[in-house]
Amino acid sequence: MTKGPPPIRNRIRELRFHAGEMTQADLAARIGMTRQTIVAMEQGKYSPSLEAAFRIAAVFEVAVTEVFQWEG
Amino acid sequence: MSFREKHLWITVLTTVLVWSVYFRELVVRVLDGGMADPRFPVVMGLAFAGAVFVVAVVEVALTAIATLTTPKAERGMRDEREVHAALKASHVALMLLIALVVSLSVAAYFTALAAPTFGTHLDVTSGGVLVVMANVMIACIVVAELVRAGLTLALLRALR
Repeated sequence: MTKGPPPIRNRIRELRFHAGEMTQADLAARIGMTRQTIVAMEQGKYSPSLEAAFRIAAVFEVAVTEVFQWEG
Repeated sequence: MSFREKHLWITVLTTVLVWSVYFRELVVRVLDGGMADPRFPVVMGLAFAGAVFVVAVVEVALTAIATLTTPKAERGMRDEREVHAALKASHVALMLLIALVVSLSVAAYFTALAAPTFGTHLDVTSGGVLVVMANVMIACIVVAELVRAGLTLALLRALR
């Protein structure tokens, strides 16, 4: 098991900005998560499950690969 | 701070405050020779019931305050990050509890084995000894619970 942040980059912050400055709380409520989890994802400290990743992509109406990119 | 984190802090603080007072009382009584007192099991039983009651009341009261001070949207079900942290911490706490119980078993076994050698008569059927043994097991559970709550908090903070 590797230590350190997961090698997955995401564009959640940028996509929120383009979605009319959607707040972290707003996004969290729409995908059934806490705001703290959105914060952790944006900081690259937490990688969501596949289901959560698809939910986030669905909120922004983009493909999941538009939100998350593998950097490993 | 999320509702879960507030609740974990409540658990940590309540556990530390209430059980430290309870176990301090137990140790003081044992050191003062209270185990020989026939009222010892009843007194400690009442103290234990009191401690459980205080834990319940304090946790309910503080949780009510935490509920009122947390936005409704954040009070819902645990999300996957919180579940992930809780599972990791529960695993560590369970391993610790097993280690503590095994250590206690080994200590009890060797104490029983060594007692006749030193000419000591260990009456495990005496109320005082049984009360102390029961409390040592309760202490193991309290420590494991404290580690579970504390580690969950630490993991949630690390993943933020």
